[in-house]
Amino acid sequence: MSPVASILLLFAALAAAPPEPSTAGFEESIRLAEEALGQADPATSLSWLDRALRAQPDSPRAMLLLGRTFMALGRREDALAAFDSVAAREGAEERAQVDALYGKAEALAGLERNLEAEEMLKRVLAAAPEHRGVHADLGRIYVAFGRLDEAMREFRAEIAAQKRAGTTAPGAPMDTVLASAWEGLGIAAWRAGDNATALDALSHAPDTAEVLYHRGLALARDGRNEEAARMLRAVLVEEPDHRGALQNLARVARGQERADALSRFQTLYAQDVARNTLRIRVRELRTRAEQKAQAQDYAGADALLLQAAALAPDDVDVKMDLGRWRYRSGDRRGSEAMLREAIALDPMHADAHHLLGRLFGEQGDSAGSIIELERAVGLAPMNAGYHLQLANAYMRAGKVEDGVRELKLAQRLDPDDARTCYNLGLALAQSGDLAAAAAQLDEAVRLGFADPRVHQALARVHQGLGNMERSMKEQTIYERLVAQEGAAPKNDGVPR
Amino acid sequence: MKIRAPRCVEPMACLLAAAALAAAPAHAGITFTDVTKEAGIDFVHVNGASGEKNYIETMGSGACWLDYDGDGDIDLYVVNSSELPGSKVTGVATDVLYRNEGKGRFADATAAAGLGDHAYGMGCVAGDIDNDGDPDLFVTNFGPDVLYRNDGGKFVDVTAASGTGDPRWSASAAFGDIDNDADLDLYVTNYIDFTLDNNKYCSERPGLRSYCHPDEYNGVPDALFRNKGNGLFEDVSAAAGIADPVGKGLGVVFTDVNQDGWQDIYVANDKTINFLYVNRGNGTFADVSVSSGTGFSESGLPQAGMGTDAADVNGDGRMDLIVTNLDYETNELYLNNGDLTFTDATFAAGLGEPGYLHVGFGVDFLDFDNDGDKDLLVVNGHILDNVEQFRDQLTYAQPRSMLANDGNGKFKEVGPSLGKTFVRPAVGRGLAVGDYDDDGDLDFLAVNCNSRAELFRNDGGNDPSRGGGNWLMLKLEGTRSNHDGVGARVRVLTKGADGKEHWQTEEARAGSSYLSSNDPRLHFGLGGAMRAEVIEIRWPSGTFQRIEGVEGNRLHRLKEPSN
Repeated sequence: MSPVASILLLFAALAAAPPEPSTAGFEESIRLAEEALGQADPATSLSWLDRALRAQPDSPRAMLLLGRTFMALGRREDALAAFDSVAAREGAEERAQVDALYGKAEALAGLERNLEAEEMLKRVLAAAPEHRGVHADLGRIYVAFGRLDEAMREFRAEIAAQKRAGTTAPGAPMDTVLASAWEGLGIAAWRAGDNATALDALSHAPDTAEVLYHRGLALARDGRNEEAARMLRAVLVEEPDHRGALQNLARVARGQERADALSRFQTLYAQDVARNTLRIRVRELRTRAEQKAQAQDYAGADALLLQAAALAPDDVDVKMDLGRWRYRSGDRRGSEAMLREAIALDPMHADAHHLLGRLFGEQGDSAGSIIELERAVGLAPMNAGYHLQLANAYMRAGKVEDGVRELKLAQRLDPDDARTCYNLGLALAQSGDLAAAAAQLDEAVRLGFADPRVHQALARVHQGLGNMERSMKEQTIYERLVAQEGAAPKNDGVPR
Repeated sequence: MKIRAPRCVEPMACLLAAAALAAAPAHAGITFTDVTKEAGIDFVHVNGASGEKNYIETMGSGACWLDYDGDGDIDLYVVNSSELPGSKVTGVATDVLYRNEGKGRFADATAAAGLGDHAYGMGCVAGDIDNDGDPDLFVTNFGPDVLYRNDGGKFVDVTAASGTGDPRWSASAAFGDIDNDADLDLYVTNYIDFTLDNNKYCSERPGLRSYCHPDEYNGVPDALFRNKGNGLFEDVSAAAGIADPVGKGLGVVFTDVNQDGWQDIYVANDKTINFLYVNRGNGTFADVSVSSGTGFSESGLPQAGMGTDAADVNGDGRMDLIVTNLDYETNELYLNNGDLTFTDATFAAGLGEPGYLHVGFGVDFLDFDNDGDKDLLVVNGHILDNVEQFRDQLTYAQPRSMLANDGNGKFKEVGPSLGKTFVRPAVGRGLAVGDYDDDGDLDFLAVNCNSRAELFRNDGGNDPSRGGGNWLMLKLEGTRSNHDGVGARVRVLTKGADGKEHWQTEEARAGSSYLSSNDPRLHFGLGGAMRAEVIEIRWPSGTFQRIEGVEGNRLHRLKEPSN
């Protein structure tokens, strides 16, 4: 199984609520994943993909669907990794590679890496000129570049392609790609000052809020104020706080309607200002609190953060700061309370689960620690530190195999971390794989692991392997280091 | 005063030359030439960067054109910032006054004129605050601002006595006569509550420190100082109703948006609502920022708001407004509807695409080709000096823009056709437009952040054979109004070859763009016309003056009638 797939699977296994036990095989799992994604339920899609990838770890179909699922979750970096694993695969089926390139383009565009996205899309076009959506995506990228003529050209090309393909049956709702192309053409034309084209294109697009809004703007530009007002009112029915609709309705409307629109707009703006002023104040308090904490004035830090919490009771970052500094000051109960409040506000806060997990571990609650750390890893599968902490929790609970697995994942994410090598060495030794353990411990030393206990561990492992000479050598090193002043390992248990 | 002979003495010759160019692209013969070195301008802006990403490092500075010695040509004052703790700057960075020696050369006259401010400078504005006939100078700083009174070519620091030493982080400033009492009052924009002690750590990507976003700081109220007429100024900010605390002012321009004879004020604010203050004529201003439609983008969102200017871009006699903004925003053009509302015409005017990936700072309306309409010049440059590391389409240094007006308020980027000046990127900030060589076409100075200032000479803007046109320059002298006639509204009528009448409207101003102020003389492009049929001036005092048959291709001094 590829490293990417294994990491991403971990998320799938741990973050999603597991479905009912099922004997579904690969095909059925894929079908159910697609169905869930089609129903805008990416979390369920992930859990089915977990099964699918366990059955066929290297399936391009599954990886492509995993990429689309991550896109639906807004996890563009993970999506990019999933698509890349197919696109970069030698010997992959051409269709799969094209789809992977397309997926990469979408992920890159979402990450605002538009030049790379443009390149991907051009490669897709070269390989598959009739690929759905490519022209429209290029159009959107060109709008982002401010190259409106090119954008309009691409949107027109997409419309022509969709018409040729007959993607919208008579009487049926417009195909989404076609709809987005009409909308894109209309908005690009409006931005280019081509009002006639804008109005024509937008008249073809379905009545989304954005389409209605731009129709309104185009009509206003033509001086057709009554019609413009009608469009803008329709926008406000769907989105009552749409700033542009309110501002422009104030422009084209008269009398009380204009006054009401202006008043509402002004109120919303005043709320924005107040929110930002509050955010600045809270950040100042947090910064001062951090300075206090760094100077070990934890009581001072706490006081400032409580002020911040009073101003912004729903601010997760304030709760997290309280959780951290209380943990550092030794107030475990106070720390737990704050971390729980943070999680109550944001159940998807990976670091809150991570810190809570470590806290439970220190208090001897293995089961609780594992639950929280598994949650953290599921929410942030690319965080090596979380995997490391989970591995420690597994090992403390005697779940050696799980511990080894986590340590290997942590190592894949951060191959140059000496501590991970050391912990993996210990875990492998405990699992009985002494040769592998020795290799990891040696690697830890090579990477500069300063804790003398690595040499003690090497001594024991080599003793187990029957390498007595090596064992004695390592033991001697260990004893020498311990005897030296300042050779004791540093405490790294502070959560950040 | 040097009088330049017209390039086309014979109208027929002009017509023939124009016909020869008919097949060539517009402005084909006009170029802007970098004459910085040959002019002797050796100014280097020092921002004091030390790696701490202090906000102020990325924001300055500006420049002013002024005839400080009264010899008839415009001189140049360029503001410098300075070293900061931890910066490796050696030597002392000061503001510089360059005296125009004629023949395209400037000489450093800083010390001789009693100048050389070493504060962390931002911008400047020149104006005759005591009506003695020579321009005085107001310099904005990160820290106390400075007012210099010009005593016949030597400047005296009168800040303390004047009461204008605002200690906050000031940006642009402008002079205008808000109460029409014949002396210049002063509007100073103040930016944010940043200090070196509260410099925050900001980053666009983990581990990559960047300059902060203005949202990380609170705005600071602007200041309006009323000139009491005796060298003293009175802070009337609160009384006038302009001390809105949420402003993060960077640009300001005085303009009469409703043509009632009272100077209104437009302020470009950074990522908060822009302000339009309409003068009620009684010492107070009405805030019409929201109702006028000039506060936000067309989508109702606050934009960056750095530089600003006002001009009549569509020939309807009303002053329109431009504000420069950030990348992925647009430089916003607001067309004046005449009823204290404006229409956002950015996209309709063709300004939606040019500069979409640029960060605009200094901005001026000018008629660079003398064809009788207002074109648009913008200097660009990103805020973030490491932007290339996390945005693949953006650059720190960016090319300047010259957008030509088609005569109906629609603009098109023509910069690259005007020479390397508009291709070579720079980190542009201040922009000051002026005719330093007195040849009738407008030149400009660009101040670049932490780099050399650059002087660009317009070659061909006054030459019909090169795509340019005839011109007219006016130097106003108030008698019942302030000495320079700041706030005067001037209209010029020309007739085309087909007999069609063409009116142009201008205002005399002191301060606009970003941190800068332009040549105080009024400039009009006449196109193919050899003269102005009519010039109408409404002076700030209310006096109306009409002059007929004014010869083109020369500078005229126009004195306000005393009765």
